[in-house]
Amino acid sequence: MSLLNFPVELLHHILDYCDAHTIIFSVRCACKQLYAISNSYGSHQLKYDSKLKSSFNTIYNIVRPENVVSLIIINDHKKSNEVNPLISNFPVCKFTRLRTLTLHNFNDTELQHFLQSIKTDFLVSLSVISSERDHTQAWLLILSTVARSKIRTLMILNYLRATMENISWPIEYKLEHLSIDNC
Amino acid sequence: MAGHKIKLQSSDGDTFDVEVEIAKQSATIKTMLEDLGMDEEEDVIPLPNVNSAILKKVIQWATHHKDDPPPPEDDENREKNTNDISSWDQDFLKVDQGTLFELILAANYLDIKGLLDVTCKTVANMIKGKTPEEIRRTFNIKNDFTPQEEEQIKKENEWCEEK
Repeated sequence: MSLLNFPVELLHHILDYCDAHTIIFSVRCACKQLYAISNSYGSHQLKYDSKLKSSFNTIYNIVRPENVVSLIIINDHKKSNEVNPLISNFPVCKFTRLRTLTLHNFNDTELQHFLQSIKTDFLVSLSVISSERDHTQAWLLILSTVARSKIRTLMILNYLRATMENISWPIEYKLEHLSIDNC
Repeated sequence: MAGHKIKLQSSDGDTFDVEVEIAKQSATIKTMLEDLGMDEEEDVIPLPNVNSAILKKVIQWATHHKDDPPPPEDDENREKNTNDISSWDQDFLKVDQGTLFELILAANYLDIKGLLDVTCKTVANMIKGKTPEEIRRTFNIKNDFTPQEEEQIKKENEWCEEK
């Protein structure tokens, strides 16, 4: 009994528990069969750390964005008031089958670029994690996204300086799990 | 009815008495029972794709997990975490690779989602953090790339990193 005797759907089920980096740089390079199976895999989980741009570019050039279902973006830009060009140029609109999106350390402008560009057809989970940035529009942007999507899980962390006044929750929303911490 | 049992027959002819509620964790068996009306204790459900040793393990797993809540329907949207394997499952899955693979195939055939997920997670944990060569060694896979193909893959990776 060998791993390679498994039907493709079972191997893809195993890959469901591996990140894109592991699939592209390890599994895909092991043998011809795993190369083909990795290339046909369509549910990638991608993590983009703006410090590690080259590694992401490698993956991004091999994995088609429509085959990514989970995206984690970590913004490492030091100056909180400036827009990180890597974030503002990130082709988020090409990720048409995203189901979960996690954004770390975005300022309002970056958040606006992402949340207004993103295709929400399949999006069911949104996590927005801040650190020390000022946020005046964050809540409005997040709730606007929730209102036009099927998001069922929303997590907001560390929005210490977010403006929460005059926030009205959408009347029709599909939220089932809500987590707000340190806001 | 609590305690009501059915017989499951392995590919090598052994039969196992199993409580219906435990056996029904297998969607395959559940469908058989419901569609074919097989609810008598004398009825034997043949499982030609599962041998005795593996069926015994599957029943052991299903018995331990009989009170688990049913898996959520939208599970594909959940985060795919491999760090949430219970200590009981970790101990249960301390088996040789062949047995682990046979459990995956049995879980797939019997359509037991919880067992399939935890066995696939275990294999994923055996893959994570390994180089291609370490993966080959772990799973006894032959490197069948030609030198030209290996060079091509290397270029694909390097080419992208230079952009």
